[in-house]
Amino acid sequence: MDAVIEKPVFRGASTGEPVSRLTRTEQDIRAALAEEPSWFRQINVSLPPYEDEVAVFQQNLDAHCTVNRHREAIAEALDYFDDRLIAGHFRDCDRALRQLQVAKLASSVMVSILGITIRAKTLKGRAIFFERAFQEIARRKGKKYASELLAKYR
Amino acid sequence: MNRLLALVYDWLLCQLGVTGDFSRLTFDANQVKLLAVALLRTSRCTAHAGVAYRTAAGALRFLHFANHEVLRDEVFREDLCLGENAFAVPLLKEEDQDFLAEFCARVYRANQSGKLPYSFEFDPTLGFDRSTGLMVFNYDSGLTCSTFVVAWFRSAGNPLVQPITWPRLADPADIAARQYVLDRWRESRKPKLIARADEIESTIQTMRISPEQVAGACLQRNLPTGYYRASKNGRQIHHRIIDQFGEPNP
Repeated sequence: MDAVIEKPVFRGASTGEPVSRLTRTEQDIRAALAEEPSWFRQINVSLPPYEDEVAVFQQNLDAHCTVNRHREAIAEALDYFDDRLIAGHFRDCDRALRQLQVAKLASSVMVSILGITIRAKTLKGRAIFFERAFQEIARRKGKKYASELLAKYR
Repeated sequence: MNRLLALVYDWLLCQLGVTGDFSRLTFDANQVKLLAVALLRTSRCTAHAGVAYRTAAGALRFLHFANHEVLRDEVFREDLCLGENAFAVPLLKEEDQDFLAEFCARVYRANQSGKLPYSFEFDPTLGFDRSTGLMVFNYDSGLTCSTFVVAWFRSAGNPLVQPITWPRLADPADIAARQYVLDRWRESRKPKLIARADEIESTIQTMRISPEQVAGACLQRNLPTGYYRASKNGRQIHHRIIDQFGEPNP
């Protein structure tokens, strides 16, 4: 029978055994972050293109949320992170997660960002974003609600 | 050991009556606010399951694994299949449902170029790669309409069922339902379906999560749920469908 599904096979570096895409993704994230020298992260380096990109993304999300177009904001957030995770641009995702401000974002948009990045849990920016989202939702709707809502996305 | 504990826990809760909330079962598509598992009667012994969701514009759409290599996302029509449909609305927060509704569109877009295989075998660890919609484990296996729903919910971080609690082998009713699918494929005279029927027939006795069980799981307050509670809810849904639409034609 013809191949019925795209089936990328990745060989494990040490064993030569095929590894799953999920495993590969986690490895890629670790590798991508490991490539970055520690001094690079410690210095507040100005990276205008990325900052601009995140700023535009933030503006779009805020604009949608301000006029209660939450679903459009969710769609934009899913596209933004999905496209970058597919392309293996983990640093971009990490950077966006660190920079995104949650004050104007709807709770459902925060949930969607955490949901779509759940397979990139190793990103430190995600943990930072999770904490921000938790605090913001707790402030709006109470700590119990925030805990119940976000527990499965931690 | 984990399986045994999960089974005992599930059985106990089932015996104690901790089963579905049937106020969240509806036959009216208009009652689906954001998201539901749709159950469509297709014949006397079979049903079809998929995810019904509302777009931002308010249209009800239906994401479902319709057949071998056919994933569909279409406007929900009352006359789909026999027009005898039920909707099980999961008890999720609105934020979760908004995310899941948009995730439907995402999965479909990602799958347009890929072709999901149909298979009776179900690997409990199966899930979709959120970005591509492809399965991240057990590539060669595939899904049924109901295990597509299971994998979809699980991939979005909201698992419906605990597959570990399911019997390892299908019962006679399950096998009859599967045989019905294979017979229809062979009658279709479509070479691809006939070939696939031949390929998967040997797995007809493997574990089955039925469409009714998936819809039944949705009615539990706490998710994921186990085999006993999902099955009990599923049987009750089946009876309610008969009450609503009458006995299916032979």
